[in-house]
Amino acid sequence: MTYNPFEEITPVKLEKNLLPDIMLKVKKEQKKRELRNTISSLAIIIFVITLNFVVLLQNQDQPVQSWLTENQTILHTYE
Amino acid sequence: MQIEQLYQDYKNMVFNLALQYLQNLEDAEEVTQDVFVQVYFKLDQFRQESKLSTWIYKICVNQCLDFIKAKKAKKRSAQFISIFENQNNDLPFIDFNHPGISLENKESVQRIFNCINELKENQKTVIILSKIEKLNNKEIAEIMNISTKAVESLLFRSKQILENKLKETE
Repeated sequence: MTYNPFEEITPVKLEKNLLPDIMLKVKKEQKKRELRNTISSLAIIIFVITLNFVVLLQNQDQPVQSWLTENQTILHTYE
Repeated sequence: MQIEQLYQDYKNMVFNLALQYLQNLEDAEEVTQDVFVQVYFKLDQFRQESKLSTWIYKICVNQCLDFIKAKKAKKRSAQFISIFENQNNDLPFIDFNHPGISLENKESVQRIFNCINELKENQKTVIILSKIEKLNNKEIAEIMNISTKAVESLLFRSKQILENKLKETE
């Protein structure tokens, strides 16, 4: 029979109760995930508001631009 | 299934596998905790395509490999700092403390583990799962996400490399 060194390793029974520590880590992870979700929701809201604001500003500029081109045309005709 | 029940059913399995990877009691306990935290959050993703034990094994293997990577990175940065502080930081990566090995066999088994630790991640995994955990090739294939044939060839090659390493250290 050949010697198998792996036979020397015997299974160990976990004596310590790790469950309280696991539940503590679960709670911490839950809080971390909640915070991550809140931050990403806030980021989306800020992005949408900024986008709306930019669109609003662009729309405000449009009458001025059209007024300018109109006057430019008049000027051109006078010239 | 409740996490308490899962913990009672699989705590020894997870702890022993972590112990084979890390060869340190405290590290194995920490990884065992992390594995059950992962199980708690990923349980709804378990599609029952494999056995629950295989699924937990898979989480445990990944958690152990991540832990080893993090520990190595930490050690590297400590070594880097010690260069500037003129400190001698030649601490071994693994502080060998394996309760599953008797004192009389400690030296010989530690030598084997030192050689196993030098193997590549997948070689180390296949040796631990096959030779120490005594899983069959089909189960190993499911855990490692490879075919049974690939497990066979990986195991053959890993055993050869391990034997060579052991001969070198004799």
